[in-house]
Amino acid sequence: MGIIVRLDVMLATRKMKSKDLAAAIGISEQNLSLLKSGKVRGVRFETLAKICDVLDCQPADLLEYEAEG
Amino acid sequence: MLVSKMRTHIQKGAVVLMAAVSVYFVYYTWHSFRRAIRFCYGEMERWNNVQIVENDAVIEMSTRHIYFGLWAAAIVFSMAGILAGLYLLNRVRIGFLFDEISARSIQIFGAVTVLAMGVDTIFGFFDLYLLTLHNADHQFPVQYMYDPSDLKTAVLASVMFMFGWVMREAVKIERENKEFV
Repeated sequence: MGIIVRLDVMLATRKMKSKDLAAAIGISEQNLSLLKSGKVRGVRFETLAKICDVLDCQPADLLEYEAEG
Repeated sequence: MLVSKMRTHIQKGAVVLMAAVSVYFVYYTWHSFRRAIRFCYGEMERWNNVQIVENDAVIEMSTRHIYFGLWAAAIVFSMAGILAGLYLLNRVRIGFLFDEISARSIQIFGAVTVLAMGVDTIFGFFDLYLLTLHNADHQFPVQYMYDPSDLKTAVLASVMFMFGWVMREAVKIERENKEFV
């Protein structure tokens, strides 16, 4: 997949722990960890909106496309 | 009602149903083969006692073998259908209510039952022909015959097959949804 999740960078920038973000957006820490590592097939718009709301950022700050090869 | 409580009820229901189906399976196997063996080999005069068979007709052994073979095939396919049903009930009993294998076993149950009814119908085509094969005259031709109850069972089994198919797709969608955060 050419999509890279930059959630860990945003969390570091906002000085926020994964545990707190998971609690704030209402998903499990395990799922957030999977999302951070990019080991999910997709992310719901609803989840993305909540993350953007809590971290005060745009989807483009969290996701990046990297051409393969 | 709580989901876990409902799950327990379903599992208990499967246990009761499994016991009943197991008893029926043993009875069906024993009764059906007993009838077939008795008719074809056990009591040789039974064949001649059939109304459409001439009393002095000499029934060749090869005809008896073919008749028994067709009859036994119909029985074996029905047994396979019952076994597929038992396998499904056992999975429910263990707790696999909604997974791909359970969905597939519903499909297998439906398909095998349809097949069993098909074999039963084919047996019906040759039934009168084989019975009257050694009549001096009045032999019956191979003819299309069907049992309406077989047809009803086949239609219901087809619905089961479709239900299993829908369930398989639902399981796939659920799995896909789980992979989305």
